[in-house]
Amino acid sequence: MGYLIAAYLIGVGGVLVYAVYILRERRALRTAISQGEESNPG
Amino acid sequence: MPPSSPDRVIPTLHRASTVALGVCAIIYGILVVNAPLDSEQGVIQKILYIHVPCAMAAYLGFLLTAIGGGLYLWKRDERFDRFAASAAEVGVFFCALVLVTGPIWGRGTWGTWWSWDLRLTVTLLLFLVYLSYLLLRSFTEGTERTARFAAVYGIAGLAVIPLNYFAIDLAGGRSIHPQNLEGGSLGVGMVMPFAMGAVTAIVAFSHLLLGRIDIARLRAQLAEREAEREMRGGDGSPWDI
Repeated sequence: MGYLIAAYLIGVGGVLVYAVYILRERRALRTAISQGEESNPG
Repeated sequence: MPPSSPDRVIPTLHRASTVALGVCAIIYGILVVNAPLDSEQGVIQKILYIHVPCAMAAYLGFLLTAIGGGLYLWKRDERFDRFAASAAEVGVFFCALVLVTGPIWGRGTWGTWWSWDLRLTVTLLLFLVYLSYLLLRSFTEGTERTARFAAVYGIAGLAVIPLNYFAIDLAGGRSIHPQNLEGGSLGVGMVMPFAMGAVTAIVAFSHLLLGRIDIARLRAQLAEREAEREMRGGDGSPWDI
Protein backbone atom coordinates (compact mmCIF):
# COMPACT_ATOMS: atom_id res chain seq x y z
CA MET A 1 0.00 0.00 0.00
CA GLY A 2 2.91 2.34 0.79
CA TYR A 3 4.36 1.94 -2.72
CA LEU A 4 0.97 2.70 -4.27
CA ILE A 5 0.52 5.87 -2.20
CA ALA A 6 4.09 6.97 -3.00
CA ALA A 7 3.53 6.51 -6.75
CA TYR A 8 0.29 8.53 -6.75
CA LEU A 9 1.71 11.25 -4.48
CA ILE A 10 4.67 11.71 -6.81
CA GLY A 11 2.53 11.60 -9.96
CA VAL A 12 -0.30 13.89 -8.84
CA GLY A 13 2.00 16.08 -6.72
CA GLY A 14 4.41 16.46 -9.64
CA VAL A 15 1.65 17.68 -11.97
CA LEU A 16 0.42 20.12 -9.30
CA VAL A 17 3.89 21.54 -8.64
CA TYR A 18 4.54 21.97 -12.37
CA ALA A 19 1.13 23.63 -12.88
CA VAL A 20 1.79 26.07 -10.00
CA TYR A 21 5.25 26.87 -11.39
CA ILE A 22 3.66 27.68 -14.78
CA LEU A 23 1.04 29.93 -13.15
CA ARG A 24 3.65 31.86 -11.15
CA GLU A 25 5.97 32.23 -14.13
CA ARG A 26 3.14 33.50 -16.36
CA ARG A 27 2.09 35.99 -13.69
CA ALA A 28 5.68 37.25 -13.29
CA LEU A 29 6.09 37.67 -17.05
CA ARG A 30 2.77 39.51 -17.41
CA THR A 31 3.78 41.84 -14.58
CA ALA A 32 7.15 42.52 -16.21
CA ILE A 33 5.47 43.27 -19.56
CA SER A 34 2.86 45.58 -18.05
CA GLN A 35 5.52 47.44 -16.00
CA GLY A 36 7.53 47.91 -19.19
CA GLU A 37 4.45 49.36 -20.90
CA GLU A 38 3.81 51.76 -18.01
CA SER A 39 7.39 53.06 -17.99
CA ASN A 40 7.49 53.31 -21.81
CA PRO A 41 4.01 54.32 -23.01
CA GLY A 42 3.57 54.16 -26.75
CA MET B 1 -3.29 47.93 -29.68
CA PRO B 2 -5.85 45.09 -29.52
CA PRO B 3 -4.37 41.78 -28.37
CA SER B 4 -3.57 39.36 -31.19
CA SER B 5 -5.38 36.01 -31.51
CA PRO B 6 -2.90 33.79 -29.55
CA ASP B 7 -2.85 36.42 -26.78
CA ARG B 8 -6.50 35.64 -26.10
CA VAL B 9 -6.91 32.04 -27.29
CA ILE B 10 -4.08 30.36 -25.34
CA PRO B 11 -4.95 31.83 -21.90
CA THR B 12 -8.66 31.03 -22.50
CA LEU B 13 -7.86 27.43 -23.46
CA HIS B 14 -5.53 27.17 -20.47
CA ARG B 15 -8.31 28.27 -18.11
CA ALA B 16 -10.78 25.84 -19.72
CA SER B 17 -8.26 23.00 -19.38
CA THR B 18 -7.94 23.79 -15.64
CA VAL B 19 -11.66 23.11 -15.18
CA ALA B 20 -11.52 19.99 -17.39
CA LEU B 21 -8.54 18.68 -15.44
CA GLY B 22 -10.31 19.19 -12.11
CA VAL B 23 -13.39 17.27 -13.30
CA CYS B 24 -11.30 14.45 -14.85
CA ALA B 25 -9.14 14.15 -11.72
CA ILE B 26 -12.20 13.67 -9.49
CA ILE B 27 -13.75 10.98 -11.74
CA TYR B 28 -10.33 9.31 -12.15
CA GLY B 29 -9.77 9.25 -8.37
CA ILE B 30 -13.18 7.66 -7.73
CA LEU B 31 -12.63 5.01 -10.44
CA VAL B 32 -9.12 4.10 -9.21
CA VAL B 33 -10.25 3.78 -5.59
CA ASN B 34 -13.16 1.52 -6.64
CA ALA B 35 -11.18 -0.52 -9.21
CA PRO B 36 -11.02 -4.25 -8.45
CA LEU B 37 -7.84 -5.70 -6.95
CA ASP B 38 -5.60 -7.81 -9.17
CA SER B 39 -5.61 -11.47 -8.10
CA GLU B 40 -1.80 -11.82 -8.47
CA GLN B 41 -0.33 -8.41 -7.55
CA GLY B 42 -3.00 -7.06 -5.23
CA VAL B 43 -3.35 -3.33 -4.60
CA ILE B 44 0.05 -2.36 -6.07
CA GLN B 45 -1.24 -3.21 -9.56
CA LYS B 46 -3.21 0.06 -9.37
CA ILE B 47 0.06 1.87 -10.19
CA LEU B 48 -0.81 0.78 -13.75
CA TYR B 49 -3.48 3.52 -13.86
CA ILE B 50 -0.85 6.25 -13.44
CA HIS B 51 2.28 4.64 -14.95
CA VAL B 52 0.94 3.79 -18.42
CA PRO B 53 -1.06 7.05 -18.90
CA CYS B 54 2.12 9.01 -18.05
CA ALA B 55 3.96 7.00 -20.73
CA MET B 56 1.21 7.89 -23.24
CA ALA B 57 1.55 11.59 -22.36
CA ALA B 58 5.34 11.37 -22.74
CA TYR B 59 4.98 9.75 -26.20
CA LEU B 60 2.50 12.48 -27.18
CA GLY B 61 4.93 15.18 -26.01
CA PHE B 62 7.78 13.79 -28.12
CA LEU B 63 5.51 13.28 -31.13
CA LEU B 64 4.37 16.91 -30.90
CA THR B 65 8.02 18.00 -30.56
CA ALA B 66 8.75 16.33 -33.89
CA ILE B 67 5.61 17.77 -35.52
CA GLY B 68 6.45 21.27 -34.23
CA GLY B 69 10.03 20.86 -35.47
CA GLY B 70 8.84 19.69 -38.89
CA LEU B 71 6.45 22.64 -39.18
CA TYR B 72 9.24 25.02 -38.15
CA LEU B 73 11.56 23.66 -40.87
CA TRP B 74 8.75 24.06 -43.38
CA LYS B 75 7.31 27.46 -42.42
CA ARG B 76 10.25 29.03 -40.53
CA ASP B 77 7.77 30.43 -38.03
CA GLU B 78 9.13 30.93 -34.49
CA ARG B 79 5.81 29.88 -32.97
CA PHE B 80 6.32 26.30 -34.15
CA ASP B 81 9.76 26.25 -32.57
CA ARG B 82 8.30 27.47 -29.27
CA PHE B 83 5.56 24.84 -29.56
CA ALA B 84 8.16 22.07 -30.13
CA ALA B 85 10.29 23.19 -27.16
CA SER B 86 7.22 23.38 -24.89
CA ALA B 87 6.03 19.91 -25.95
CA ALA B 88 9.52 18.49 -25.30
CA GLU B 89 9.59 19.97 -21.80
CA VAL B 90 6.17 18.58 -20.87
CA GLY B 91 7.09 15.24 -22.51
CA VAL B 92 10.30 15.02 -20.47
CA PHE B 93 8.29 15.78 -17.33
CA PHE B 94 5.87 12.89 -17.99
CA CYS B 95 8.75 10.59 -18.98
CA ALA B 96 10.36 11.41 -15.59
CA LEU B 97 7.10 10.37 -13.90
CA VAL B 98 7.22 7.07 -15.83
CA LEU B 99 10.79 6.55 -14.63
CA VAL B 100 9.75 7.20 -11.02
CA THR B 101 6.45 5.30 -10.85
CA GLY B 102 7.88 2.29 -12.75
CA PRO B 103 10.66 1.49 -10.25
CA ILE B 104 8.19 1.94 -7.35
CA TRP B 105 5.96 -0.67 -9.00
CA GLY B 106 8.99 -2.86 -9.75
CA ARG B 107 10.16 -2.73 -6.14
CA GLY B 108 6.73 -3.86 -4.99
CA THR B 109 6.38 -6.71 -7.50
CA TRP B 110 9.87 -7.79 -8.65
CA GLY B 111 11.62 -6.86 -5.39
CA THR B 112 14.05 -4.54 -7.18
CA TRP B 113 13.98 -0.83 -8.05
CA TRP B 114 15.74 -1.19 -11.40
CA SER B 115 16.81 -3.82 -13.91
CA TRP B 116 18.77 -3.20 -17.12
CA ASP B 117 15.89 -4.75 -19.01
CA LEU B 118 15.54 -3.57 -22.64
CA ARG B 119 12.22 -1.71 -22.03
CA LEU B 120 13.53 0.08 -18.94
CA THR B 121 16.84 0.94 -20.58
CA VAL B 122 15.21 2.32 -23.73
CA THR B 123 12.78 4.38 -21.61
CA LEU B 124 15.79 5.90 -19.84
CA LEU B 125 17.39 6.51 -23.25
CA LEU B 126 14.21 8.24 -24.49
CA PHE B 127 14.24 10.49 -21.42
CA LEU B 128 17.92 11.34 -21.90
CA VAL B 129 17.49 12.05 -25.63
CA TYR B 130 14.82 14.71 -24.99
CA LEU B 131 16.49 16.00 -21.82
CA SER B 132 19.56 16.62 -24.00
CA TYR B 133 17.29 18.42 -26.48
CA LEU B 134 16.23 20.82 -23.71
CA LEU B 135 19.79 21.25 -22.42
CA LEU B 136 21.17 21.95 -25.89
CA ARG B 137 18.46 24.56 -26.42
CA SER B 138 19.16 26.23 -23.09
CA PHE B 139 22.89 26.53 -23.86
CA THR B 140 22.29 28.25 -27.20
CA GLU B 141 18.95 29.94 -26.79
CA GLY B 142 17.38 32.24 -29.30
CA THR B 143 19.23 31.75 -32.56
CA GLU B 144 17.68 30.58 -35.81
CA ARG B 145 20.45 27.96 -36.08
CA THR B 146 19.50 26.53 -32.67
CA ALA B 147 15.87 26.26 -33.74
CA ARG B 148 16.85 24.46 -36.96
CA PHE B 149 19.17 22.05 -35.16
CA ALA B 150 16.58 21.42 -32.44
CA ALA B 151 13.92 20.68 -35.06
CA VAL B 152 16.10 18.05 -36.75
CA TYR B 153 17.16 16.58 -33.40
CA GLY B 154 13.54 16.45 -32.19
CA ILE B 155 12.46 14.58 -35.33
CA ALA B 156 15.40 12.15 -35.16
CA GLY B 157 14.71 11.44 -31.47
CA LEU B 158 11.29 10.12 -32.43
CA ALA B 159 13.00 6.94 -33.69
CA VAL B 160 13.42 5.85 -30.05
CA ILE B 161 9.63 5.65 -29.51
CA PRO B 162 8.91 2.53 -31.65
CA LEU B 163 12.06 0.95 -30.20
CA ASN B 164 10.69 1.67 -26.73
CA TYR B 165 7.20 0.39 -27.53
CA PHE B 166 8.38 -2.86 -29.14
CA ALA B 167 11.28 -3.43 -26.70
CA ILE B 168 9.45 -6.28 -24.96
CA ASP B 169 8.93 -8.14 -28.27
CA LEU B 170 12.52 -7.40 -29.31
CA ALA B 171 13.79 -8.86 -26.02
CA GLY B 172 12.29 -12.18 -27.14
CA GLY B 173 10.75 -13.31 -23.85
CA ARG B 174 13.74 -12.22 -21.72
CA SER B 175 12.04 -9.01 -20.54
CA ILE B 176 10.78 -8.85 -16.96
CA HIS B 177 8.53 -5.93 -17.89
CA PRO B 178 4.85 -6.90 -18.47
CA GLN B 179 3.61 -7.10 -22.07
CA ASN B 180 2.08 -4.03 -23.74
CA LEU B 181 -1.62 -3.68 -23.06
CA GLU B 182 -3.84 -5.04 -25.81
CA GLY B 183 -7.60 -5.39 -26.24
CA GLY B 184 -8.96 -7.72 -23.55
CA SER B 185 -5.70 -7.90 -21.57
CA LEU B 186 -7.18 -5.91 -18.66
CA GLY B 187 -9.36 -7.67 -16.10
CA VAL B 188 -13.07 -7.05 -15.54
CA GLY B 189 -13.67 -3.54 -14.12
CA MET B 190 -10.15 -2.34 -14.97
CA VAL B 191 -10.89 -0.83 -18.38
CA MET B 192 -12.77 2.24 -17.12
CA PRO B 193 -10.15 3.41 -14.55
CA PHE B 194 -7.43 2.81 -17.13
CA ALA B 195 -9.31 4.74 -19.85
CA MET B 196 -10.04 7.57 -17.43
CA GLY B 197 -6.36 7.58 -16.41
CA ALA B 198 -5.42 8.00 -20.08
CA VAL B 199 -7.97 10.81 -20.56
CA THR B 200 -6.80 12.59 -17.38
CA ALA B 201 -3.14 12.30 -18.40
CA ILE B 202 -3.91 13.78 -21.84
CA VAL B 203 -5.93 16.63 -20.27
CA ALA B 204 -3.10 17.26 -17.75
CA PHE B 205 -0.63 17.18 -20.63
CA SER B 206 -2.72 19.71 -22.61
CA HIS B 207 -3.08 21.96 -19.57
CA LEU B 208 0.66 22.01 -18.90
CA LEU B 209 1.49 22.39 -22.59
CA LEU B 210 -0.83 25.38 -23.03
CA GLY B 211 0.66 27.04 -19.96
CA ARG B 212 4.19 26.33 -21.17
CA ILE B 213 3.42 27.71 -24.66
CA ASP B 214 2.02 30.85 -23.05
CA ILE B 215 5.22 31.28 -21.01
CA ALA B 216 7.32 30.92 -24.18
CA ARG B 217 5.11 33.47 -25.96
CA LEU B 218 5.36 35.96 -23.07
CA ARG B 219 9.14 35.53 -22.84
CA ALA B 220 9.45 36.24 -26.56
CA GLN B 221 7.19 39.29 -26.19
CA LEU B 222 9.28 40.58 -23.27
CA ALA B 223 12.55 40.03 -25.16
CA GLU B 224 11.10 41.88 -28.16
CA ARG B 225 10.06 44.87 -26.00
CA GLU B 226 13.49 44.99 -24.35
CA ALA B 227 15.19 44.89 -27.73
CA GLU B 228 12.93 47.74 -28.94
CA ARG B 229 13.78 49.77 -25.83
CA GLU B 230 17.49 49.26 -26.41
CA MET B 231 17.06 50.31 -30.04
CA ARG B 232 15.42 53.53 -28.84
CA GLY B 233 18.49 54.35 -26.79
CA GLY B 234 18.71 52.41 -23.55
CA ASP B 235 16.59 52.62 -20.42
CA GLY B 236 17.41 56.24 -19.60
CA SER B 237 19.88 55.40 -16.86
CA PRO B 238 22.80 57.81 -16.30
CA TRP B 239 25.16 55.03 -17.48
CA ASP B 240 23.77 55.06 -21.02
CA ILE B 241 26.18 56.53 -23.50
